[in-house]
Amino acid sequence: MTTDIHAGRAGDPLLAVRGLATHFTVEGEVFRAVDGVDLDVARGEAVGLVGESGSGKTVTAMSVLQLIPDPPGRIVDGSIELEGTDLVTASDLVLRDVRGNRVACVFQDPLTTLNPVLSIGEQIVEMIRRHQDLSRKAARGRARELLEAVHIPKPERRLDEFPHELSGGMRQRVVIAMALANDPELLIADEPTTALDVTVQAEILDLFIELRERLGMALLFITHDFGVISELCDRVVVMYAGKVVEEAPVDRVFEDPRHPYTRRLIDCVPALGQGARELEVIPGLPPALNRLPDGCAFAPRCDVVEEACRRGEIALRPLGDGIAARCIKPGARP
Amino acid sequence: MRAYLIRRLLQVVPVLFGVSLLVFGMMVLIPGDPARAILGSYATPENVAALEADLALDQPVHMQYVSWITNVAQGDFGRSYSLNRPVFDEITERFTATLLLAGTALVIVVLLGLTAGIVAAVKQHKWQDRAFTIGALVGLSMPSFWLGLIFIVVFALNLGWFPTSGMRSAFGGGGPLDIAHHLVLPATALALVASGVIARITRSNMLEVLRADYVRTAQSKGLASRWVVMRHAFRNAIVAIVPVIGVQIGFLLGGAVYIETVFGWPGIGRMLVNAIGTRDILLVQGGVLLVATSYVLINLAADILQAVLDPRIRVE
Amino acid sequence: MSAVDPTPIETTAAPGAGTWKRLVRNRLAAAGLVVLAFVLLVATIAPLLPLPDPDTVDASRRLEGVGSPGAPLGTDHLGRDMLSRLVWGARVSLAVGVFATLIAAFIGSLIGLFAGFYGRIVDSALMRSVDVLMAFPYLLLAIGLVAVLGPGLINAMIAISVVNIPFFARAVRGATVTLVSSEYVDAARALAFSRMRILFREVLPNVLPVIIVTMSTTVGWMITETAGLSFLGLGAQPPTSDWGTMLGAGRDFITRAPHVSIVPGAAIFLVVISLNFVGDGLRDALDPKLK
Repeated sequence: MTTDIHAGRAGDPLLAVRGLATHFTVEGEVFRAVDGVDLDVARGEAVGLVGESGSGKTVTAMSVLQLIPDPPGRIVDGSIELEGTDLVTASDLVLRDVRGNRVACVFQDPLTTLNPVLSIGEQIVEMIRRHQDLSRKAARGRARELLEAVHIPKPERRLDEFPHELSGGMRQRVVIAMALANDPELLIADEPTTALDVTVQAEILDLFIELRERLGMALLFITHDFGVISELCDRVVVMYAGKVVEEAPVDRVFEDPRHPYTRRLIDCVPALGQGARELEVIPGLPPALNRLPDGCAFAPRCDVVEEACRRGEIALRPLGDGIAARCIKPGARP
Repeated sequence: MRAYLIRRLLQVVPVLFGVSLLVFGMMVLIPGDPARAILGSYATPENVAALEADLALDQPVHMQYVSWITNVAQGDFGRSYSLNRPVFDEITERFTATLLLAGTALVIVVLLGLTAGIVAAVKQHKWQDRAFTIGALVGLSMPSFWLGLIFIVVFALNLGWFPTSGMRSAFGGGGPLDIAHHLVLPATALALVASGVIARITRSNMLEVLRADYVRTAQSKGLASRWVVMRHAFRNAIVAIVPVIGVQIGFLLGGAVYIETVFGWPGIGRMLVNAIGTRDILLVQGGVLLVATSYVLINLAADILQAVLDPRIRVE
Repeated sequence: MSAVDPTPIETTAAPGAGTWKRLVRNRLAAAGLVVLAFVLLVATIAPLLPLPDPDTVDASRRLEGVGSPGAPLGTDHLGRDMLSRLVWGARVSLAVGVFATLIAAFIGSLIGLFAGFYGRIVDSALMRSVDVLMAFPYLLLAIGLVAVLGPGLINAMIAISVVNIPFFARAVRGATVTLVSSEYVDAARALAFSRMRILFREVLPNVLPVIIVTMSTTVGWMITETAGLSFLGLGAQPPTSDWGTMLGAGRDFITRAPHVSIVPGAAIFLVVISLNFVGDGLRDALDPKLK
């Protein structure tokens, strides 16, 4: 299943997802949430994974750490290699040594991702001591440093507080601090700003930018917002209906999106300084994942659709310069 | 936490007042002359007159209540005519035996109910889940007095492992081991129904928290699944289970009436049934008041424990 | 993620054909229904069944075991036919349990409706009284009431219904409060319907599922507990006999003839577990999101 652009890149990536298929079975119906996804993240690289709700971006990210609830979800095909170790077939023990250590996660809603009955300190210390041989006291000191690193005021006091005593933005900082506890090589962030107030969103985003510059870890950043991508990421992967439809370097994709879906997503972003421009909303809804149409899944909503789009499987075709699109007429405009 | 404690303590006051009113009302509502009812049909007119004065029966009802509750507060529950003994002595002695029985049952309920509920939730849709779910339903559908009789037939009469009744052996009994030996069957029979209830509530609460985002967070930290289930999921689920356990203690104290009757356990439940038979109304009154008051305090303790377990309740 | 989320269907609709279909599709609930229907049928047509008289004493046939000729379930300590007594006892036990449930449901639901609908002082006064009832351990309050009223089947039934009132009051109050804050009750108010009319024509039909579910979960206890009071000698008095008195009478002969106690107890267990299966199924069918 390896496509050309992946094979062509120099050096082995940190994370290499190949042909990943994660399906959900609900009352006998199979939902192909993720169906044949290839994805690379190089060391230190920031990859943005973009798509609407239900495009499979979150399921892809959760599949990496095998955090898909089974039942109903199941990885039915493909491999997820972290520097040569396949996480799909890895033993529970190997997997647990990777989780929170080499690969850490930041989730969407900080109001629900922290355990409400354990103090902030307990939750961070637990993460540290799982992977590092530190005394309780040393781990607590490290936890305080981490809170400082994400700019939480009065860190010593916060350690003994409970999640409900903190604001949403502060809680997300705690979650980020926790994720950084063991200096992960890869940080997966699943829409970490979506649930927050607009002003807080910007602060958290700035924090991500700062941390990446300072720590240099690789980042897989999931979002439905192209605006966020431009500030933070090196490369972008666009998903639609469980498949990758386009991937490209960030500067190129804004200049010249190749897939009509990518173009429409970019049009949704309010351009800076343009004031109250009418935002384009993509008409229609993504297809039901248990009844995917033949051919291009985006065809029903596409503004340049033609008869050939609805026939047969369409491949993700490399277009040079690290760009690839799953479209028979890349770059077409109405 | 202190504000919560004070508020919760203040809530208990009207409830205890209501309980005392109802228990006091038992005497007022009894048809006929209360003093005669209390003293039994062989009482002399002098005795009846003396008791009427003692109970302030010549005064209005609210004064009767004041006089009664003042006595009760000082530990004076009156004198049981059928046992010819202060009610207080009898009920405290009997209640100790009931607490031993219900307390042991509670330990079984908590161990069995929580374990079954956790295993069923973790193994949802697997055979363990079905087995425990049906087992819990069978447990809570069984009349405990029937289960007690079956235990006697099987484990005492046929297998001869345990004594059929009583709390101590007639000869040389009364040591801790002897009492424990007498305790096994009644405590288990009493515990099974409540265990079913706790298993069901534990299962549904665990299923809910196992889907919570913070459980996924815990998994993403690389923690062992046992640790995730206990420290993250169960630690949250127990918050909602604790008050249910408090309520189940009420069912244990009530169910003890059957079990004590079946197993001849010298507790307060059997005393109450006997007292109703002999129309010893003061004994019934004192017994009901003691158990109900203890139950109110037990539920208070359960609520406080819940607040200790959940930081969010403390600040509300 | 919405596409893969098995989003539960929100229904608070009144019970209808869909509910029935969901109920019988649940295998345990269907089995429970069959058992209950059979027990009810047998109890109803007891006079028509070819059974010996349940009260005929036969000293020559005392404590015969299960499977004796002419007495499939044996005989009791007075030589009376156990099967016949079981069938006739069912009439008493079931009637008392069901009546107790209806009384508790009626009074408890009224309390809950008024408390939830009028709120404020009415709510406080009613629910604090309910709290006091709840402050007594379940069976203990029933025993206290029997002590006051005197032992007897009717008194035991009254006592058991009183101790169950709080379950209905609380559940119905909760549902009523939710409904009263909803829009269509506002609409009814805007149309200036009388309060009673809103309460009984708009609110009551919508809290009916809650009442039914609470009935289905409590009727089993009520049958068990009234039988229990009879077992203790505080319920049915001779010559009336329900399953509880049969069980209690057999206790003295448990060494020689355990079946005299075990059989009526098994009948209670069978009915109660069937009720619980149906109750669980009913709850899931009426409110799938509770599953």
